[in-house]
Amino acid sequence: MKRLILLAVVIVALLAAYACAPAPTPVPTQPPATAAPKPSEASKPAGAVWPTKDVTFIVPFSPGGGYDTQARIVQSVWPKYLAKKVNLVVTNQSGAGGKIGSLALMKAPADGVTIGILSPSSLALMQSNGELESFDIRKLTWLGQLSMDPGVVVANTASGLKTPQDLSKREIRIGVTSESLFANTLLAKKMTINARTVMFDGSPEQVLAAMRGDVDLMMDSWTSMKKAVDNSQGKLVPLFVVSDKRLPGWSDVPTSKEIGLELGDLQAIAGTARLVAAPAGVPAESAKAMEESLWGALQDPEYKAAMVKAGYDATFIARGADSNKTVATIMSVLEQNKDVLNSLKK
Amino acid sequence: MDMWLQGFQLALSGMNPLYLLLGTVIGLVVGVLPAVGPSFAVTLALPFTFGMDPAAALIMLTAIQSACAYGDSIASILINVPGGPGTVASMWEGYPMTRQGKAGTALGIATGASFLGGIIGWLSFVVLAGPMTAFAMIIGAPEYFVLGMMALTLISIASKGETIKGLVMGALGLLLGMIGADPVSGITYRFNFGLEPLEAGVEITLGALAIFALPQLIEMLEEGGTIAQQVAEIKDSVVGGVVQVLRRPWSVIRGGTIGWLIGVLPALGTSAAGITAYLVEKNFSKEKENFGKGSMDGLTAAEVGKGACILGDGITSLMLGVPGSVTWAILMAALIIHGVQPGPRLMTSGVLPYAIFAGLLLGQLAYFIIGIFLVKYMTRIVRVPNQILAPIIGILCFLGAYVAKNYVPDIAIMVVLGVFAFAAQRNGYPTVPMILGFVLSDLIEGNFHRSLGVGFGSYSIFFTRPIALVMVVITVVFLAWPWIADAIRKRREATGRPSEALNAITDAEKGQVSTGELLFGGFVILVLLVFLVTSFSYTPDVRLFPVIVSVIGIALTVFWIIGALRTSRITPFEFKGLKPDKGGMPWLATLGMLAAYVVLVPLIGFAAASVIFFVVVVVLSGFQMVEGRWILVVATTIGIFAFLFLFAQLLQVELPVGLLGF
Repeated sequence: MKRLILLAVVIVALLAAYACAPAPTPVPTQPPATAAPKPSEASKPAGAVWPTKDVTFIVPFSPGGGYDTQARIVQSVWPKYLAKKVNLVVTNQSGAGGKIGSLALMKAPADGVTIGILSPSSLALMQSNGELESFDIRKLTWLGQLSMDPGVVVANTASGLKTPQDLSKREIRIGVTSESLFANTLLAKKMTINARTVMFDGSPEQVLAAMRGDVDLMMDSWTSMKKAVDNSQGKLVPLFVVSDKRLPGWSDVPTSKEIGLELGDLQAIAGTARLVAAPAGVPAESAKAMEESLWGALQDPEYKAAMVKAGYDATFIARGADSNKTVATIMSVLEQNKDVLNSLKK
Repeated sequence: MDMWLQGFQLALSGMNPLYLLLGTVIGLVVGVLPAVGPSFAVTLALPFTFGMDPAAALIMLTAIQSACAYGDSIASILINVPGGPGTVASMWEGYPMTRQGKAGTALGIATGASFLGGIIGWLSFVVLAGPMTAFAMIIGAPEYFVLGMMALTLISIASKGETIKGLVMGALGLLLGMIGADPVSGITYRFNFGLEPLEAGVEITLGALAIFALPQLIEMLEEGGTIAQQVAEIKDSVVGGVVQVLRRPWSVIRGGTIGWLIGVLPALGTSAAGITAYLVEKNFSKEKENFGKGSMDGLTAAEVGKGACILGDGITSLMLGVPGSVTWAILMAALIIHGVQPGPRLMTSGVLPYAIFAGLLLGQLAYFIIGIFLVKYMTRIVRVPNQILAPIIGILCFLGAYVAKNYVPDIAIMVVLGVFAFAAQRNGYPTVPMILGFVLSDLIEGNFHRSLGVGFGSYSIFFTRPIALVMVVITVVFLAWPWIADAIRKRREATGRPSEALNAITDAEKGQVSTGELLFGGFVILVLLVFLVTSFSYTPDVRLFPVIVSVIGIALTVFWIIGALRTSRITPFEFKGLKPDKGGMPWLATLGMLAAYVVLVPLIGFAAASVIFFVVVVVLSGFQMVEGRWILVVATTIGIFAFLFLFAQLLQVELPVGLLGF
């Protein structure tokens, strides 16, 4: 008898569990095929207006970093521009350099319930290495660009490196992280630097090593390098910016072009673009609603203010179509430099 | 001085004391839950602080961190399940004390020692922040490598009496830490065996849960009854425990110094602090024979170490802008979002940094006072029947494993690793060295290769940097200490017999080994061989460490097995997996249910799987439904469901919902 009552309670509890399951995101059974789904399955009964329910915002990196912080900033402004008041739930799915969370996004159903903030250069590297299963990042539904940090080259002051010519005089130790390894190797190749790359777990440790003089040089994204130079008490000095234009607040730092370097396509891969995307195959109407509302949020003064306050730069925002181009450019850089990529594996 | 006064004034003005209290309460609640630690608690609270003013936000978040790290000790001490990564070592003496009916004292020690550790950390923050920042600046890759090797030698202390098997388990821990992206090229995923979830490596929290919590859960179900079964009544007081801490100034100083130093060095976190402080204390304490049996020295050192480390971590985070721990990385993000940049110039950005320091101290006081009064009520947990408590622990472990990365496959990784740890423990292989190797793996390997890069490929870098050289010397002296101490004693006493210190590191001859011990040894060789063979598909730099570690591991295991076969009597193999010989549920049944739970989560969702797991365990474990105890079961079932529902709804954590698509 008692066990019967117990059983009944369990059944009721289970039913309740299903009835009020919070913000249900169905676990995908199959990765969405690249072929478009049948129209009858793809279109939602209430018209493909977005958003219809709470949106999961995947951050494929751990809390506290640039991706996480910027995702949370846009999370606080975006709802102003949504047709329906829903929650944007930031979910950190870190691991394997962003691969775990990014793949989770790519595998999610293309119904607008799952979006994510992605690092196109890391993903392009993974795709070129055949690590993204059969996904093509060019086919994702790109919604917009939260920020773009151009790559900047910073040297240890005591290293005596001042001009591009100095770099080819001796063996140079370049501090890298797994994210910046490829770009730095490409830089060394283009500038014919006799380079020894030293791998660090993350940007803060790399910066400390550069300040100590344990490495001579590093190329990384502008906002983190700017903080590093500001905090270094003169131990770090910026050499040049891998960009066409000088950067706000760094007007005395020359661009690569100005000092006679033709780095061309390195620009696309040296910087850090933070893009928002949805899985491939989101119905056009939903995609438009997503892109337009995000664009509204990115132009909002509140967004800019929050970004600047947090020490980021909101100059280089972009719409979905431009983000598509960014991704395509990055992929083509990788395809053109397969030899550099292969040299890393040896 | 004036700024300090203003800082305290700001910290205590307006709503700030309320936020301090709120943070402390949130931290304690999350802390008491096993398996989830401060980084989780702070991440959860982060979005709610965006609208607050910076002082209030930071005061609340740091209060959550401090209180949660303290609350973590409670699960470690009372139920032998790591409350969070910082309190792994607190289990080793705290739980034996609980079993002896001294739970109150143990919790008192945790309260007092965490607090004292916090105070040591805070004072050093105020007095030594400048010089320590400079110190952290000059510690580079070679120094970290030597430091890691120093810490690794603690395995010899962690496995006294079982030194060879301890070293083998240490090697396995090192290899476990090598799973995932390699630290040399950064682009090779090692030992993923074709499985995507392994590419991300194994989280520390996950490893601690697998190695300690799952075996404990199996054991609790095997025994039945309650944790406090032999103890009639818990009468000892929490205040008594605090007094015990004060009577151990040397343990406090040793533990505090080690914890704080580990905190100041950015690459090492609280998990290393507690374990290192504990093991060093084991080496220096006057009551060595009590270790593992409820030594108050050991518990005090572990708790002080943890407490001091948390504040030590803050020094590099705030002064250098280099996160000292995962939790501090999130706290730094909170600062950054509010427009305050951590770094050398933080102290010049007005009164806010002083208010944060004030908040850090007030946070310590808040949990200490609340803890003193409330923690004794927690001891009631040890009277809950194991058949109820164990499945709840299981659910919380699964929850902890999932929320670390919001990743379902991590649950399966935890259970597989847990089964291995359980098998090791049953067959007399110590698991403490395994967690030590695991925690240190990346530090040692990454910094070895980094050092070579910094030194243009030359090994001389380890001997030409003064700090690294001093550390090498300290390590050698530390390892040779038993012999040195012996020599000194002999000169003094002129007796011929080897001293106690030397005895402690030579394994006692047991005279017999079980067949299970030998079989597990064979299995270990097999695992190590798999790692060794796999290593050869990587480039020379990437495979260097895995090859060295697995070869040493295989050699030691073979050496041990040959030694055992030659000198010991072998007891026949006895399979007890299905025999309820301890009165409760046989271990194979528990393993089966854990496996089923793993399969059910992605199929029917987390909440439903958890409820089913709970009920099935309670029913199958032979829980006596007498005297209305079935009401307890029904109430708990509803409670679990309500807890998971609230957890997901209020905290906006998305739990897996299952294939059925509900």
